[in-house]
Amino acid sequence: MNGNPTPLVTHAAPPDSPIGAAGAVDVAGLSCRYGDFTAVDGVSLGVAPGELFALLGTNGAGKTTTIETLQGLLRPASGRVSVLGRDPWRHRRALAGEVAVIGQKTGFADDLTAAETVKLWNDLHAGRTAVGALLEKVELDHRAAVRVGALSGGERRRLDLAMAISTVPKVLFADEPTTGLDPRSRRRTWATLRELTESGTAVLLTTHYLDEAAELADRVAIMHGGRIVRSGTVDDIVAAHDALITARLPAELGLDSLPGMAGTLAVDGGELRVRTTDLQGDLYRLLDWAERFAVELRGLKAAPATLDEIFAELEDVQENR
Amino acid sequence: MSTNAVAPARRRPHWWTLAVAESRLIGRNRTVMATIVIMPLVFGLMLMQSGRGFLASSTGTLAATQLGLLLMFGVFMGTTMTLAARREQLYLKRLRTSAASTASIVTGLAAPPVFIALAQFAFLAVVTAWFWSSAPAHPELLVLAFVVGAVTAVALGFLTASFTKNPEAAQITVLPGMMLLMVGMGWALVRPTGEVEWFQMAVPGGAVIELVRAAWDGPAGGYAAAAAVPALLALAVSAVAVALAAVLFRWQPRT
Repeated sequence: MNGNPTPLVTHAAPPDSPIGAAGAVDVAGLSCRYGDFTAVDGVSLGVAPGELFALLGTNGAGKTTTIETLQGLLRPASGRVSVLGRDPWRHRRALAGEVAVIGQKTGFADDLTAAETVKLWNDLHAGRTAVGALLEKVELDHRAAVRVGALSGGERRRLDLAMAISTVPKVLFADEPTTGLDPRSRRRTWATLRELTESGTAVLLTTHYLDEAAELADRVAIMHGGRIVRSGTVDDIVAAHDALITARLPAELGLDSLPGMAGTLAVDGGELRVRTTDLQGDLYRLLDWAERFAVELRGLKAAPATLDEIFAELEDVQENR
Repeated sequence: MSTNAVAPARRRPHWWTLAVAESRLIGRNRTVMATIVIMPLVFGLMLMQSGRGFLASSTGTLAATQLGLLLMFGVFMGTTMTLAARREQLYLKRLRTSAASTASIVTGLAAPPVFIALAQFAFLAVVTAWFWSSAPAHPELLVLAFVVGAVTAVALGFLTASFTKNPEAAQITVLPGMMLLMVGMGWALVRPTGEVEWFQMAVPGGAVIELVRAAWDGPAGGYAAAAAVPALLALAVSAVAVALAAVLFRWQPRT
């Protein structure tokens, strides 16, 4: 094993095989174009009922285009898209009662109040939850009579969430639902998303926040340049990347005595760095060596790769291609 | 999930729900209120006081001019401005993700300006008839004139909104449509009732003028059948505008 990142693949499955469990949302070989620009290039994924699938990626990665295609707002250039067994482009209206959306930009009429906005949505979808209860759920009951244009960005996101849960949707497309939220509201939104998945809702979430994906997602796909460059469970993705062991070594220590490692070992300025996919084995070998040679490993740290590191690494690799 | 359920309210059509929301939005925007409620009404009342004999040769011509102004300012400009505003706010895009059909969305957004214009026209028609002691000979043709005029104005509004980036731009983009309506109405107004040619009525606004004049000043009998020509021409023009708008109209801003 060397210390380089594992080779990039679009995804392990054949191009037209959805990643993840199928059922509520199935996408195979989806491509979308704006004129000559290819925004989404051969994306395949699947979301099962009760599952939360997170799409990660930087701005312009193709996440929102993918979501808007699944909402039936954009027509795919190629590929197959199915939401609850129907083509969303052709059956947008039929799906609307069973599919909820939290958009990246909320799309409210500024001169309606928060309560009027939720009521409008409730009336269009025969929602049976009282407007007041929905606003209370997202902690906006005290702002019910305030016009949407006067709400803060975070409050508008919460209002969006209230509209999404006016019915219990079978599918929820949540496009960066916690952007602009304070930590408390963010946790409340996470709790609501968990409640939805426990009720059987399939959630497709896009987010910039890797901790959010790690916290919520059953499966994750990382998009870059319109393509999925990594996918799997968070644990799978983390396990496929090198963990890092670091420690400071005594200056007088000869490096020849260092043990053989599964990973790549380097010493720079007295700091030992081991990049490895066998964290447990290499840590054991290092500690055993230190015990036998009575070496003090100062500042010893051993940790698996974080999604942030993997994300940055993938970005670097893609940029350098 | 939370179960603060309420008994389902009586289901209203989606277009009605959207029209109620749209009415609130119009009522809360002073610029739109001035454009579609106050301005057409003031112009209509000013015409009634001074127009007949000065601008209009008959009560029918006066009433036709009043309706033309209502349709042009209230329905055409109002529809264009509100559609541009709703699109800029991404409200139209949001509605497209709802359970409402495209027809419901279009109807719901267009209904308030049309209903406002209908109320204004009813008011002006009654006051005009009283003021000049001249009741319309065929009131049913007034209804037909309003319907075909409203359909034409709404269709032109959607078509113009296709090229209108935002409400501010609407002040410029409505000019071609206004010119077209003014030419259509003016061209019909210079000919006596019953002598307007089919190609004059084919210009948006022309058929409406002819129908209102026929309703008010037309002969006692037999004219209703002749109204079919302007009505059909107006609907044909509207159909072309609707077809163009269906192709060109964008539900979200260009990216």
